[in-house]
Amino acid sequence: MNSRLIFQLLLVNLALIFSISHSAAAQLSDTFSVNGFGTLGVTKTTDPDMGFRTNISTDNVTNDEWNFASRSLAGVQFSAQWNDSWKSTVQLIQQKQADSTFSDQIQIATIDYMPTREWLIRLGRNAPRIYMLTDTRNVGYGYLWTHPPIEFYGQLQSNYIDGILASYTHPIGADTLTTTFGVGQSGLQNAYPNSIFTADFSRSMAVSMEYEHEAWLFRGSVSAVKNSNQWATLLRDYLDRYSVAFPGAAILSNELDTANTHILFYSLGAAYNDDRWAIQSELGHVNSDNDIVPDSFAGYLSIGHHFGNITPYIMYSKIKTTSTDVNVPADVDYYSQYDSQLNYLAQRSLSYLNSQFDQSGIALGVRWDINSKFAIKTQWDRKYINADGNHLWWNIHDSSKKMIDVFSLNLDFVF
Amino acid sequence: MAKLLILIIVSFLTFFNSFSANADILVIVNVKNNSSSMDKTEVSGLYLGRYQAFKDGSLALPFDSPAEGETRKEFYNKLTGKSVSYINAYWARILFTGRATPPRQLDNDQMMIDMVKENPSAIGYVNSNAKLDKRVKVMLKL
Repeated sequence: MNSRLIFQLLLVNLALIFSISHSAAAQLSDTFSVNGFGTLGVTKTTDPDMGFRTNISTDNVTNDEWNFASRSLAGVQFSAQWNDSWKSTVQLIQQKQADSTFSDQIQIATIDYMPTREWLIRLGRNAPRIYMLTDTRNVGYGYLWTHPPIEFYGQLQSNYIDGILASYTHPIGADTLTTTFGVGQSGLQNAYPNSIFTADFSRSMAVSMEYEHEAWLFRGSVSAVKNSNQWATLLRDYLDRYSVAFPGAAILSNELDTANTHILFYSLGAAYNDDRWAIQSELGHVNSDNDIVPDSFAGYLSIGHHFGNITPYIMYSKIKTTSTDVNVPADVDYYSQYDSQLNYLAQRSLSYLNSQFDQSGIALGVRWDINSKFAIKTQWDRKYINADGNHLWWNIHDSSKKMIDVFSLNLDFVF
Repeated sequence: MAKLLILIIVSFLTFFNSFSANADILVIVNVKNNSSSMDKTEVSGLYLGRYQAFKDGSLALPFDSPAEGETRKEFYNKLTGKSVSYINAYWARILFTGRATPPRQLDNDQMMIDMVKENPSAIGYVNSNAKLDKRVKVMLKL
């Protein structure tokens, strides 16, 4: 689904929502609703060079000075219930992010159909649910921390899926099982200090199962995307010009070929929430034949305890790349010392092909629920980054082993 | 002295029991609702947005008591075993996926009873000492 079609769907949805809001004024609050969410946040690190960011799609980075834009965002949602079976939802979000267009600000634009109470079928733009919080990671009030663990949620992830999503919920005794299947198109941005790649996932598919038993939630999911476009078009063009004289340049160009590549996301998660404890953990694996996207394993464990409206928490998280580095072909390696452009092309290629995740982090924080609309959170993170493992960070030259502290303070709200 | 002590203990227990009895919560629906009874799984399914319709397929409109009130806190704790802070955060997540809309809040028990008696799709909850109308029926006692 292209952005023009999404824009048309957005307009149709808004027209339907507002026509209902005017025609059913008598029961307006039952059929039409406007809600919003937002975060006012500040972040600071102890490192002047390595830029902290919450995911690799953004160029909104923080160093050793307080950054008020790092987590600040606002969203608004309109929804209308047409009748017992049909509903429309539109959600728009505003935040600082790389190369943002109006289409990127549309998080949800769906027409929902509920043929029975067990089924929910959504057509249009949905937020994908690759991991537990992927579809609500912008709604800070909805989770415990100042930001989801970057070792898990900072990796490559789509912000949206344009297509169809169907979920089936049914009870098993006193428990509940929900199975969700989604198919469509999606995309994302992969931001580097010297370029931003825009991925076009022409096919995107996700299956997830959630089982709720008393205070427990168990979740498993598999998502697969097919990337259809070239990310490093210009770089490959230059490499191809050298490929006649240097077969090694053709090898590098081939490694950077992202068309018709596939990325698979696997995840398992569990959460326990009662009136005292808030515990959550997820494990994930990314497997890709796209050489710019490293294979990785990631996970986290977060434990919080409620003391009335105050919830202190502790978290450990880790990510590690498992795919091996690409070496510069022998001829390019030898001749690049005499040819500055060839040298530049080789180094640039390797900066994309050999980007790795290898870091862990501990976090201590506290959430104060002021009331049902506002929460204040503060968090201290200590990140341990191994040599050559800093792909989550905005970094140009430094690949050394590092330990960086990150401080964050958020006011999250909903209305 | 012993009689006085027994009297104090009995009074205390009576007071405690009456306090506990006051804390009971009744889940109510319109008298035209096709359901004859509901269990905790069914009610929590409706109040946590897992289902947006009753078992007969008709649209369900759950209503909440005031967000910061004791009744709501006790209702969710008895129904789900979770803290009201968790419920608030949970609903923030569900609402902004667009999958469901949280229960609309009403100011007091009387407004809850009035809403339920006028609306066949409504489901609500009140303290057990609230004076019920004949146009509502009790589905569950928590």
